[in-house]
Amino acid sequence: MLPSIEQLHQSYTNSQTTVKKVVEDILATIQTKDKEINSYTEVFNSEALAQAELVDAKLARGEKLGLLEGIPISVKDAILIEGHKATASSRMLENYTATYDATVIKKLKEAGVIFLGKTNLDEFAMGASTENSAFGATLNPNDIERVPGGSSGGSAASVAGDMAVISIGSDTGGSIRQPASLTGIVGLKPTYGRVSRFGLIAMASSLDQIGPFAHRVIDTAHILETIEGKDNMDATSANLDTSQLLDIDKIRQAEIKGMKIGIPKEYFIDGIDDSVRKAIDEVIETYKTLGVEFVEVSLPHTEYAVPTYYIIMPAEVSTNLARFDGIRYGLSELQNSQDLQEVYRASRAKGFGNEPLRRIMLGTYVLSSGYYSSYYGKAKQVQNMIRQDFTNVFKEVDAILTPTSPHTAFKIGEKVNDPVSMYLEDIFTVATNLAGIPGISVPTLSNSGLPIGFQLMSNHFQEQKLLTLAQAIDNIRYDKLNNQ
Amino acid sequence: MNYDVQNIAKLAHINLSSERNNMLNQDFGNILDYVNTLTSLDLEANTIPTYHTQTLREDIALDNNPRFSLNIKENIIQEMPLVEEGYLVVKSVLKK
Repeated sequence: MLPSIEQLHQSYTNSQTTVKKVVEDILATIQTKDKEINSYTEVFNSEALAQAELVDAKLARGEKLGLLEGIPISVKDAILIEGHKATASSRMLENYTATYDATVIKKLKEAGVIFLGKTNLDEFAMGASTENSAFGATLNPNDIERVPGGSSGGSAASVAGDMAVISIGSDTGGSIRQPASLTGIVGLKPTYGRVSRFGLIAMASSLDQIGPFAHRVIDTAHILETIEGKDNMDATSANLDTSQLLDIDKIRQAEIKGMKIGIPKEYFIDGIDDSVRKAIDEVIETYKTLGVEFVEVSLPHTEYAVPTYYIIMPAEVSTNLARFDGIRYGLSELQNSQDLQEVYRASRAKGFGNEPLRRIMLGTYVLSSGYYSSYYGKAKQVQNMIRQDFTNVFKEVDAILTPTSPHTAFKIGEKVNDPVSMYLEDIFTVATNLAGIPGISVPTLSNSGLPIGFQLMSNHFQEQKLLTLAQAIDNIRYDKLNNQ
Repeated sequence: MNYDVQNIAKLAHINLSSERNNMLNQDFGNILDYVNTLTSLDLEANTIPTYHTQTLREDIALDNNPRFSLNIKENIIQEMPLVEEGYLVVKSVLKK
C-alpha cells in the first residue's frame, strides 16, 4: 500500500525520499499493472516528472513544503484539466481537450499536488461497474475477474492498486462510495454545495458532487479542506461558516465517546450478503466498545429512493446532455449531414453509448408533455419527503450507519445486460444525494475475502462528525494491519 | 403506460438504429415498471413545497475573466468542428 499524505510529506521533508523517486515508482507501477487493470485513460508521464523535479528543487533550496505539495493524485476523466483530454469515457468527447481548469483542479494546483493522469469511468458517469466506458472496463485490483464498482471505478482502482495516493472522483448516486467499498478504500461524498462543481462534466446537476478517494480517512479530510468553499463559477456552491469547517487534529484524535449513531431499520432488509451483515455487525460492536450509543431509527421513504432517483437523474441528464449536439465541440457529423437536424441526430447517435442513450430517452420521456407531473413532479415531492426523513432522524442522532453496498464486488459482465439490477446497485447510496447530505464509505474491519465497506451519513455540512466517527474505525483497522 | 421509442428519440434528437430500437423497447418497459413504484405513494397529504429555496447569484459576465487563460477564446475555437475566419460554421437554420 502507498503511504498516506502525511507519511509522504514527512518523508519528503526528512529527505528520506525524493518526490521524483516516488512519482517514478508510481509511474512504473502504472506502466506494468495498468495494462491489465485499465484504471487510467491518460497518464501524464513527463509532466508529472517535471512537476516532481520542481518540488524537489524547492526542497533543495530549503523552502518549506505545503502538506499537499508533491502528493501524486489521479483525477476522474469527467473533471477538466486545461490542456488535457476530458473524455468522460465517451466517444462523444474522445478528442475533446479541456479549455480551462475545474475549480477543484485550480485549488489542487495551487496546493502543489502532482497530477498523474485521468481515470476511467462509466460513460458520462452513468453506471455502477465502469463497464460502460467507451475505452474498456476497469478491473478490480483485488480480483481481476470482478468490477471495481462505478462510476468512478478508475479512480478507485488507481488508489486500491497503488497507482495513485489520492484520486478525485464524482458522486451522483453513489459513484464515489460504492467503488470505494468494492475496492477496499475510503471514499467521501461531501454535502451538496460544499465543493464547487465548476469544470465537472455535468450528469445530474442537482445531485452531482466532487469528492476524494484515499486509503486513510484523514487524507480525505485534507483533500476536502483544500477543495471546498464558495465559488462564483458555481451558483450552488456554499459559503461555509466557521462551525462547519474541519478541525483535522480533532478528527485525528477520533474522540467519539457519547456520540449517537442511528441504524435505519429499512436498510437492513433481505438481500444483504451474510458476509456484509457480519462485517457491519463487527463495526457496530467496535463502536459500542468505544462508547458510541446505537439507536434504531426509521427512514420511511427509503424504498422510494431508487425509483425517485431514476426519474430526477435522467430528467437532468436529458437536459444536460442536450449540449452535445455536434455543433460547438465533441464528436460531429457536420461534414456528413445534409441539414441541421441531421447534424444533431447523427452526432448524438454516434457519440453516445447505450447507457447515456437509455437515460437521455428516459429523461426525455418523463419530462414530456402529459407525463411531467406524474413522473418528475411526483419524484420531486418524494425527494422532499426523503429529505424530511433525514432531517427528522438527525434531530436524534449524530450519524446514520448502513452498508455501502449489499454485497462485495460482482463479476465482470454479471449485470451488464440488466439495467434495473445495475440501478439497484445504488440502493444504499442514492438517498444521500437526494437529500444533499454527506456520506462516506470506509472499509470494515473484515480482512478476509473481498473488501466490504460501511457507510456513514450525517446532516448537511456535518463532515466533521462524519470524519471523526470514520477515523475511529480507520485507526483500529490500521493498528490491526500494522500488527499483522 | 404508453411510450413510443421512435417518438421519444425524435424529441431527444437522436437517430435510432433498429438494434437500439429493440433494446430500448425491452429496457423501457422494465425501467418504467420499476419507477412506477412511486405511483403507489399517496402524496395528497404531502404539503412540503417543491419550489426552489436556494438564492442564486446575480449573473455577471466579465471580459478577460481572470479565472480563465488569456488564450481561452483560441482554445474554444480549436474545439469547434468547422470554423471560418474565427466563426463557427453551422448548417442553415432556415430552410430555403
